[in-house]
Amino acid sequence: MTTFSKSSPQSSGKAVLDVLFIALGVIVGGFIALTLVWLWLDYQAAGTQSYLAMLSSQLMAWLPAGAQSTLFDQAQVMGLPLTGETSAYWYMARSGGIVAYVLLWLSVVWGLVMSTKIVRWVAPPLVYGLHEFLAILSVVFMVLHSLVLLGDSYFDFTIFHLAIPFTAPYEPLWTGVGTIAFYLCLALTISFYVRKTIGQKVWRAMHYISFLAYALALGHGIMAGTDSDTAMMQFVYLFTGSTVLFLTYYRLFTLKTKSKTKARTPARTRL
Amino acid sequence: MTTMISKPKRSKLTQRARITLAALSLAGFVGGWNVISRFDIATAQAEVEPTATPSPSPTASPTSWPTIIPLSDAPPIPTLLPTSTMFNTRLPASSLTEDTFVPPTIDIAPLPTLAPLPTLAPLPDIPTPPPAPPPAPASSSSSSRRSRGS
Repeated sequence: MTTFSKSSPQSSGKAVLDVLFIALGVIVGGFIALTLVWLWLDYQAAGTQSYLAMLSSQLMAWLPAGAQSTLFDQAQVMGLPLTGETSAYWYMARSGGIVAYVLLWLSVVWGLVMSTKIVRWVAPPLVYGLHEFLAILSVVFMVLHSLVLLGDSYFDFTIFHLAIPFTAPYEPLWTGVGTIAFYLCLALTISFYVRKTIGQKVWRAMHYISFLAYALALGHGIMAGTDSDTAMMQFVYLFTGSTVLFLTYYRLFTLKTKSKTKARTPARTRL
Repeated sequence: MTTMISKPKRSKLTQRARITLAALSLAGFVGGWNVISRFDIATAQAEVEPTATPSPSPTASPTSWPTIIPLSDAPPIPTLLPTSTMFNTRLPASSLTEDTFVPPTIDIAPLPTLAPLPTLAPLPDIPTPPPAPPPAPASSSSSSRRSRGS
């Protein structure tokens, strides 16, 4: 019987290669990140004379004249360019928030569909994969929703306001509720990757937090959302909220029925 | 003899599906951004523009009012000739910069004086009144009744 107590030269060579690749990745990633930061700062300082603006004008030149004028009109409506006192950041924050909420709702609904087994024609791994990916996308848009607020000149949000709940200059209570919802969603998303480490029971218990996270996100949207008084958004909140409520009730109902049938089964077998 | 039972291939969320979902979300984000900005602009414009008040319905006037002559037909109003003497004077450079403004001396042309009005001739003397007439005869009965009044 041979034991591999010592590492072979092949494995040590692989480890060195791994370290080299990681170092290369960090260097390249850092370079790209620094370049992007520099381009952004240049854009903020120079405006239309910046490298980003010149690049975009070069790209625009390739388009036909009709498309150019349409794009220019759309850009003006959307508050572009992102310099000076533009409303574009505020629009982006609102849009990002709505998209993040809809993705979170889809993830929660898909999770409930998975647990209640309403949909049987979709393969369980596909359902699980979609549930996980929707949750990740939701967190990505939550981050976008928060970070673009840093650019808004009207409210002067800082990283401190975004990271610490109930300190925001705009609707501190409901913005804080949104921050807590984000942290809960982030923890849930991370739990997908540490499922084996923390164990199935803990993971499942953690997953019940998703209902709280969804409820907090809904409250944040209704109470702090600028568009929550529009008929469209009221319909969205009503529809999404009622579907989650219905599916949660259905889930609880099916759980109760299952536990009852389980309790009856041993009595029958005794007969 | 052992039989190999092959597991059915599990379908997972493919990379293409992930990219499609991400692209759809991004499109939703940009579309939402556009719709929200349009909605905001429309709301702002509606707030700025005054609400249209219903104009009173025109009613037939009982009398026909005379119309005013259109202004275009009226003769042009004579304008005064510009006086160049007042503004031809140059301001000293120092007076513009200093805190205390020194007004420049302006030479105004003397205004033409009117000719003296002609004086009227003195009024003639009032003639002496004629002598008083002789006393009238006795008055009638009707006139005495009227004077008492009713």
